[in-house]
Formats: sequence, structure tokens, C-alpha cells
Amino acid sequence: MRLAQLQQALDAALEGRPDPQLQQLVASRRLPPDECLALYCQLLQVARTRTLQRLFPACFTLLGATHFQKLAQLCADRLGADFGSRPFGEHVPALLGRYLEAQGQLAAMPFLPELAQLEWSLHCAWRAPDDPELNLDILADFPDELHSEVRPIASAALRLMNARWPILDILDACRQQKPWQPVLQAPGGWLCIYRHLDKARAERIDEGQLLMLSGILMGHNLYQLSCDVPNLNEMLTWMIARGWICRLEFSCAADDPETSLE
Amino acid sequence: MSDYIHWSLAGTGISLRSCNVDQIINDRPNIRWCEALVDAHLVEGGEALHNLERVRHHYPVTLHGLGLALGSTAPLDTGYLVRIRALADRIDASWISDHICFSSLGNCFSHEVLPLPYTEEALDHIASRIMQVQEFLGRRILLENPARYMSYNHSTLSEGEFMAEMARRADCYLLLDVNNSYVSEYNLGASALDTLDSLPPERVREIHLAGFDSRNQYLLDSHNSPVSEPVWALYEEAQKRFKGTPTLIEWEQDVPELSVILREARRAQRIMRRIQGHRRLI
Repeated sequence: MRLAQLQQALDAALEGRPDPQLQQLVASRRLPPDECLALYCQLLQVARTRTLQRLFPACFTLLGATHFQKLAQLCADRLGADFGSRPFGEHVPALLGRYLEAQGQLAAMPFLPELAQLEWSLHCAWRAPDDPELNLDILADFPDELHSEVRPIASAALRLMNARWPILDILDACRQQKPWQPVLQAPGGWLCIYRHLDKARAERIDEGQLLMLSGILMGHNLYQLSCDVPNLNEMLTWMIARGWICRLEFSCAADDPETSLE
Repeated sequence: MSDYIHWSLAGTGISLRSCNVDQIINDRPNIRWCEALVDAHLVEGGEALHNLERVRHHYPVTLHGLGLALGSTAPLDTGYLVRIRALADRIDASWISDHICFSSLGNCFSHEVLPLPYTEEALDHIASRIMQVQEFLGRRILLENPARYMSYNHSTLSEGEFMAEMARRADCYLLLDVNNSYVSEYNLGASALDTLDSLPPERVREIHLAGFDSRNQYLLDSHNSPVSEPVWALYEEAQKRFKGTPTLIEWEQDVPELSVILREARRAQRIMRRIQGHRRLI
């Protein structure tokens, strides 16, 4: 069997479609061919499950090992299909939604897809590119009348998420190994996910903060932001201090690196 | 000029894991070098990368991966290579290693090490790809023998013959995983000592040691336990043939206290010293 054909047959076998010709080719002193291939399938599945468990520890805790393994299998089944080109794990929140629909006994935890989304966002924030060091002194180089044209740029790690459920409280309960049921009555709301001192964090934000951050993420300059955010200066200072804003840019020439105020 | 001192690699090292990296940074244990998993550090920022940089300030670091897919018949992933080169340059990595395997599931986080058939066709194929990768990275890489649970009836070369010829054709280096050799011998019957005898000493630049898991019928390369006695014995044989070759203790699952891993490293160091007698100069 040629190398390319062998690779194809191995791929198929790992996806549960054994090739009779491959079975003739495989040898071991300890195991029959079908068990050799089954062992590689199992090792692959264990590796994927472990990876997802690291990415979604709270979901793993709440689902339990059996359901989580089934979910991991579902992910594996979809790897070669519509999710093949996306980062491994990104599709878990969506798949978890579909999984819940098919599993009646998990109906008490409808928040799981949102919780998975939060865990994925925390992972993305944790591994996001570093932000450049902010140098506000350069702001002095711009004439006062142009300051309204300045555009704040959000940290690469920053993400916003709207949750119907109190997933932050649920996540905290899981981390502290406490029951999650008592916190279920708490409200959902908007969350800001970010990185501080290398640790991924999430916190609730109010409507003013949401307007400011969503405006920044849409590329609004200070003038545009001031239309929605009455206490803009105060908010700007606060968000710079928290590292949510990583640099300021002159919005008329946003693509020109010469005018970037890093 | 690099931010780091470029020490030569020697003695014993340990694999970096998120659970022990803080302690390594803070305690600076008496080890000679560390090995980091490539795929866990292909990022442009964040804790994993920053910790790796902190470690690199105190130790030489090697990069070990699973994703080059050098045996695969799919095109080489140049985007992946670009990121590896950037990481290696950023931390001034001592060297980069990967496995002799298919690793066909290119986009998956966790690749399984699928063995290649040891045929002329596979040899030509992998040697050509190693040369392309080395050309791209601007350095020689190391290739590791996998733990095998199956072989192929149409293989025409032994593992040792395949590795030796691959290293010669591709002008690459070899990473001998002694635990993998032992596991493969148990599972497949191929002599681990024959493999050692076949390898050209000047090409073997790193040795891995790890624990295996004994299942009902076979041994599993599990990296979750101390190095077993038969593997220590085989390691002595390896050191006799490849004197002073830097050795790594791998422990990836059920990772114990750092002191346990350091104890294993010290044992490897003692064996190395006893056999070596004097410093290896190449």
C-alpha cells in the first residue's frame, strides 16, 4: 500500500471506518489488528477529551465524565466537517447547545452553552497577543482641537459577552466546588472578559461601560463616544488604568502607523 | 543581539508543564535545561509565553512538537512553520524536535503519533520534508522514534535502519526516546538494542526518558509515572553508545511534585556521569 493510501486508510480507521486492506497490513505481537487500530482511536479520543477538559473545566465538572466524553466525541465527529478549519474547542458552545437538546436529563442546566462560551472567551483572552505599552505623553503632540478625533483601541484580549444566565456566579461556584443552584436566581447581563497580569478575568459591566466598550470595539473616536457616554473622561481614565484600552490612535488616519499613539 | 545567553545543551533537563513552571522560575532547581511543548506556546502573548521567557532567562530551552506532520502526505503547513520559527527565534531555542510519524490531523490540538511504515517510499518522503523544514527554519531539527502499538507488514527496514538512513539523507539529528524503544520492543517484538546499535552516535543529540503504563496485553507510553527499571537499564546501554547525550525526563500526566521529577533527573545525571567519565566534546 502506498504511503498516501495508507494515511487515508488510517484517517478513515480513526474516524470509525475500518479498511479491510489496512487490517491485513497492521501487525503487533500483543494485539490483533482491529484492536491495534481501536487503541489508536481510543488514544486520540482521550487526548481530545483531555484537551477539552482543560479548556472547559467548569463544563466538565457540571456535565460529569460520561456526558463530557460524549460531547468530546461529538466534537471529534465534526472535526473533519464544518468545524475543520476553526481552532479546536471553539465550536464546543454550539455543540453543547445541540447536545443539551438531545439529553433530557440535563434540562436543569440550560446555561451550559453560555458557560462554555465564557470559558472559551477566557481561554482566548489568556492566549491573546500582548498589547503594546501605552504612551500617553505622545497625546501632547496633538493639538487640542484634534483630540476628539482620537480613537481608543481595545486590548487584544478584551471580549464582551451578553449572558442570559448568571454564568459568572456559576463559574465561581464551580471553581470553589460549591453548589451552583443557589446562584441561579441571580440576573444575567453583560460581561467583559480581559487579561490582567497574565490571568484571564471576567466581570459584569454596567450600561455606561457597555456603551463605551462596544463603541470602542466598533472603532468610534472620542467625539462619537462622547455622544453616548456622558462621563467620557472619567471612563477613559478608568479603562486605560484597567488595561481595557491599550492605545490611542488618530482616527482620520487610522491605518497610518505614523499617527498611532502607542 | 539576543536577550539570552546561548548556553550549550548538556546534562539532564525536564519538560515544562503549566503546573510546575512557577516553581521552576521561583526555585531555579539544579537542572541543566528545559523542554517546552511547541504547540502550547505558539501564541503572541500571555502567561504561557511569558513564563517560557522567564524560564529561558535561567535555562537553555528546547522546543518539542507533534504538529510538523513530517510523515504526512499532505502539504507542509507553512503557517505553522512560520510560527515555530518566530517562537524559536524569540526564545533563542537550543533546538527543535518532532516525531517520525504521520500526525495527519493537522488542525487538531492533540495529535496522535501514528507510526509510519519503514519503507523506502516513506524514507524518501520524510527525508525530503525534513530537508524542506530545515531549509525554512534555517537549522537542523531532531526527529524522535515514536512509541508504537502496531507495525506494518510491508515495512522493509528496522526502526534503527530507518532512523539512521533518514538522518543521513536529510542531514538531521535524532532524538532517541528510550522509553518508546522499550515500549515498541514489548509491543512489537523489535529489539530495542538493535535499534540503538543501528543509530549513528554523531546524530543522536537528545534522549528522552519517561514512564509507561502496563495494560493487560501491552505497554502504553503514558508519561504518567517514574521511569521503569528496564528502561533505566536500556538508558545505560544508550549512554554507553551515545556518551554524554543530553537527557530529558518527560512527565505529562498525573504530574507529581517537582522534587519527584528532579530525583529522576538526578538519577539520569548519575548514570550519564558514571558512563561518560569525561566530557563529550562534540
